Amino acid sequence: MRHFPCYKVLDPNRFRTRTLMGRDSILVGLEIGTSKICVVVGEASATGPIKILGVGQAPSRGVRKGEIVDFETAHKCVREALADAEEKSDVMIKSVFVGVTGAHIQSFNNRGAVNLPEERDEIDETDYEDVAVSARDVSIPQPNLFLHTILQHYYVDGQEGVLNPIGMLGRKLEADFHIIHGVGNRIKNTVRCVKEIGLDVEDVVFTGLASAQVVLTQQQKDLGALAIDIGGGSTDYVVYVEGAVKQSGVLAVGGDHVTNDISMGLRIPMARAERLKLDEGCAILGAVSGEAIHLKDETGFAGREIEREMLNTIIYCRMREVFELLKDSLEREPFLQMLGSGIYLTGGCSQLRGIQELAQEVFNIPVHVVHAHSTAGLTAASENPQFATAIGLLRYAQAAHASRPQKKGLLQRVIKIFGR
Amino acid sequence: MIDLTARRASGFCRTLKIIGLGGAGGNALDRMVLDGVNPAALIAANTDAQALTASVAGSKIQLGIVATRGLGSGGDPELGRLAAEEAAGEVRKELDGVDAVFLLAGLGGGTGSGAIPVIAEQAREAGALVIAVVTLPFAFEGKRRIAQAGEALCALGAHADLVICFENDRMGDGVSPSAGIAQAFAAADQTMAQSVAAITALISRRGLIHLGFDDLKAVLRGINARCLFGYGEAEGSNRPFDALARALRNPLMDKGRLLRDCDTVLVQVSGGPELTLNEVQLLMEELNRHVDDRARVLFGTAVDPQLAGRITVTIFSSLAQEEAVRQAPKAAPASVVAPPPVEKPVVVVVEEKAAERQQPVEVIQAEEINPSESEEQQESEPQFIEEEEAVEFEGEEEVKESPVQFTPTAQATLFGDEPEAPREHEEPKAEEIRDVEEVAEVAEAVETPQTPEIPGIESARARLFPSQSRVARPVPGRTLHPSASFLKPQPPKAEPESPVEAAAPEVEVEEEPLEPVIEQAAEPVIEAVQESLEDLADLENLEVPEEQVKAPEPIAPKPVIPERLLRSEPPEPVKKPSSPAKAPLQETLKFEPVTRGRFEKSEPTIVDGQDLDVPTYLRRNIRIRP
Repeated sequence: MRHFPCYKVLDPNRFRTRTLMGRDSILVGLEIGTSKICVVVGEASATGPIKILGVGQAPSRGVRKGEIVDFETAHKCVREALADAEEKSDVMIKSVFVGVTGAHIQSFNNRGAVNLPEERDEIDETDYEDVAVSARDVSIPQPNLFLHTILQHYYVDGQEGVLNPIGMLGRKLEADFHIIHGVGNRIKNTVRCVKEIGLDVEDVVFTGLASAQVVLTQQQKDLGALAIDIGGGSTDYVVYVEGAVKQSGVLAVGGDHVTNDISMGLRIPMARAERLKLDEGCAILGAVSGEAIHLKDETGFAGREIEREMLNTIIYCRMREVFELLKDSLEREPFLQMLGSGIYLTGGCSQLRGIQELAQEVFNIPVHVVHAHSTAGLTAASENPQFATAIGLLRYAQAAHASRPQKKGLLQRVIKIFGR
Repeated sequence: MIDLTARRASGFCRTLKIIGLGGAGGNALDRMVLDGVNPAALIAANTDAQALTASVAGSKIQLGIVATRGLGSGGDPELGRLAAEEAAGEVRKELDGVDAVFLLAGLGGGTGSGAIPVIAEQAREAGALVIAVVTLPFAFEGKRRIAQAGEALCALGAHADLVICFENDRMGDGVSPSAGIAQAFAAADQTMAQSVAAITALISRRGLIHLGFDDLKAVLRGINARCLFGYGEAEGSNRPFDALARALRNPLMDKGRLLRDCDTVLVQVSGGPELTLNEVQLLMEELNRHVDDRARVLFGTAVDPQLAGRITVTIFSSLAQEEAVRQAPKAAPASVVAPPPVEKPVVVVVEEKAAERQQPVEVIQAEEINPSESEEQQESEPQFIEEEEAVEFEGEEEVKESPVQFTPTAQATLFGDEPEAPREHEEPKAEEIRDVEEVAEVAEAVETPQTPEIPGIESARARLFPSQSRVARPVPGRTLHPSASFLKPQPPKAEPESPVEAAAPEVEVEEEPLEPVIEQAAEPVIEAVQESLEDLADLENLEVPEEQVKAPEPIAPKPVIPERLLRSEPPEPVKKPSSPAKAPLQETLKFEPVTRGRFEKSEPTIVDGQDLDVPTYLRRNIRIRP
């Protein structure tokens, strides 16, 4: 068996210890994708930009359509990526935020409501919790787990547009939530894969939601925006209207399908098809017909001429179908009309030539291809749409840390005192 | 499972009784009660009073009160036979007015082997359709028992309309080696119970694409053939695949591997009203991977409101006689004739849309049969409209498939052309032909004319033989057999048929020479179909040679209708002039499995009934030629 440089092998004294000492905390995002496993290490204060310290990567095996299908193999690849990230960022990774996706992930909107007890008329933090619990009080399929319960709007005694109800007087607190849920065991598989390496999983985040955090600005979210993350195995989407998540979902089709289609249609090996897609592929038709692409012969593959139009037709058919299916599911709710800001494509497959034009043709809404923004440090990494999800996980982590009450253990306080 | 008490307005099989003979039969009955079958329809018959007391069946018949004095038959079939003859009166009383009787028994012992031929004979005399579901003993039970089982099987073959024979040795294959013996036997009981339920559903559930008793008989030819049976039920988004996987997981299927060796496979796919064509298509594509390319697939589908949200798959097949592991010594089977291995891709017999559960126990007066039959005739119009929709859809979605369509027209006409067939059949025939012409116009598609004849010949044969055996045993006091309608897929025929049967034994003589004629005629036709299918399968060579289209005309028993069908078809194809056969008239089965490449083994992604792992250009039939 091949030996992977494991973080445990490395000398922990080499690593910085600013996690405990400094103001900023180290955040790690891990995305187990279909084409690659990506670990992004960053540091950030509760607010302010995220500084990326390093990006670890490993080609992914044993993952199909965003989900682990070969546990052993995927496990090895995750180790490899983590070791790479530790090496590059010079940080010992202890806990990670993990992204999950897959066809099993579903979402819906629901309103929760709580009536305040007789003796009290001021809304406090317990009601705040209760209303989220009551919104989750719906039947989801038995094996499913709640992944996210995202607040949309508050209503106090029916009054709309309440931003922060705490301290307000009222008898009834209501709130709309967007709830994302998925099959428990499938989510747990991903978590187990990380835990077996010896890392803590701080939270599990839907990858679509994660990448939307960094590709959309607050202004775009307020105006209404659709973020589509076209990855290797799945296409995740999140709709923001008035700053709140209104709709989200997964279509288990991605760049891998495009490669597979090319491989089957042109009868060339998968690896060759992947390269052809990256080098020559285009998602729109209308190129000079009859133009040929020469595939050089190499070991195990005899060189051949293929027609560009044919390659592009295969890609066009697949990507158009993806957008049409997305449009179909988005049209089940009225939010597609409320996208004042437009559509934002990200993920590895968004680098495909012509995809912007194709999406625009299908949706008839302005489309932009974007990458993660508002980061510092290794900006080259953030400029690649491939890393949008992993960086988004950092942003999610940052927000999660900020909202978490500052609980510091005795040990930490002691260290802090003596650390000065 | 099946609800035998459900009443229904029309149908074939009105009253149904299930008799479990001996120990194995009794166990199977108990299993059926567990599965939710109304015990009132179940009759346990045994020589062993103790076993009989323990049974949960609705009625019980003690066999051989004198012969065995309530003890078992001790493995002696002779004693079993005597015991059954002794209880003849009681059995007859139970079977009075029953349309169909299922006999369940484990062969090889005393009671089951000895009594089953006697009871089958009595049931036959009572005018019921007799279907025997039997198991053969384990090999370790000894040669003696196997020989007894073989003899009983032969005797049974002479009286039963259909014998379904399971081998216990096979049943054990599906059970894990560490599983308890009780579990292994439970699997055997369950298979028997499921097969009874599946057959009743198959015959009685009126399908969109109907499968009848004749089809079943064609599949399970010969009493010695080893029967393969699988039943699966599933719900949820992935239900077609789940249901099929469950059907193939049946012990007798050997995970579908045995299907490779079969040359005829009967498949019925049923679902609630939400069953989509795409689901059926996906399922059949998946199944066809397990089936040999040249195998004949008798395909049927039905919509049953009671199956809301679920989909069921029933697979019947049999291995050729020479492949069966053990051959019981046998005389020539009298009632079941093995047809030659015929190559035919799909049998599509259009039936009315609304399907109902049909296993009522209540005895319904025989006169009620008539209105229901005329009802069926009236309802034959909408079914063609249904057909047209399918055609339009087909035109968009499927181009490269073979156009194989069978309409009831051809069948009706073939019957009409037989010398002894009654005249009345011509009217519905004419109507139906007009409909077919309309369909052809709508689709603007070319139909291969030879194909419609095959089901005609098939069911002609199926029709000849039951009537043959029925003539031999004239039924006392009944002018109209509900079982006759049960037997024949064409309802209008049931009524005029029975006087003919009852009247003249010479009918049998007339019918007999017909058999070789039809079969001879059928074979070249079938070859032509096969050839054209092979051509169609090859995307590059889609041209159907003109000779093949013409070929059947001189050989076919009555070429009149194929000619008319030919004339009604527009000569030019819709889409591509080079491939006249490319625009099929209706949904047909793909014989080349659709590949999913890299995603072959992963869980399919089904959205709106489409498997997204299959390249889009393949699903949308966009031509990509490297």
